[in-house]
Amino acid sequence: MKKNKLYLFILLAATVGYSWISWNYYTYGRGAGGIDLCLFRKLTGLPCPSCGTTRSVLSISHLHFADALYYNPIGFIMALCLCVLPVWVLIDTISKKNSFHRFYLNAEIIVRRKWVAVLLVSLVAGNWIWNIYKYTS
Amino acid sequence: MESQKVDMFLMANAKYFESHMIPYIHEQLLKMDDSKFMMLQTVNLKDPIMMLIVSLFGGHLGIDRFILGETGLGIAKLLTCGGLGIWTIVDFFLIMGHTKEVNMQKLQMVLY
Repeated sequence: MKKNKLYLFILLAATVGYSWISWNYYTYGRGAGGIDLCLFRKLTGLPCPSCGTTRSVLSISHLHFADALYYNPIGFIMALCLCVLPVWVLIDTISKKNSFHRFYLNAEIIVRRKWVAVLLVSLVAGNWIWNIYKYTS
Repeated sequence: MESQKVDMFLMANAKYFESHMIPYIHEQLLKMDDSKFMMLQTVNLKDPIMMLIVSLFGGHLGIDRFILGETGLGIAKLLTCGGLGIWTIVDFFLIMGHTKEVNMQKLQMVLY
């Protein structure tokens, strides 16, 4: 992926992410109710691997880390990404460096290694099974 | 490369590329050295129709992006519930064109 396209994508994704989180932050618990955008859950009636991430990030913002872990551990990764990536990309853009682009390309190479891929897929699958268990029980 | 070989390659593989790219590919293949023909045959081109089907069924989990070799975007799509469901729907319409673009990039790696 080219540098400019990647940086634009990250900034756009961060904007959407922050808007989504703040929308849910203000509506959560006020009776307005959040909007459910998960296609997978609507079609199959079962949660997808990342269902619960919004609730998890909201719990982290309230410093309720145990709740965040229970809703979905992916929330921690997402909260970290939301905090770090836009700042990193902006610093890179201002200082005209490409450290994030290099990191992204290296990370892609590492993730494609067989044992890393197998490990990550099993983690996601395990989390998915736990998610379905939480939803159905 | 011989014109007959180029025509044969294009007849078998035209569906993998944008139609407006075909004349350019034809021209480039004619200029290409004959020794690269074997390499050209082994390029792993993805079928746009197959990618659309994958996108319809597994797009929410980012499987389409993983298959196209865009691991980073695949992970992003997987971890964000298919980009809040919106990215998944957008990809239903874009994935075929994008697959053809990726195929063109792969072909260009052999050509140059």
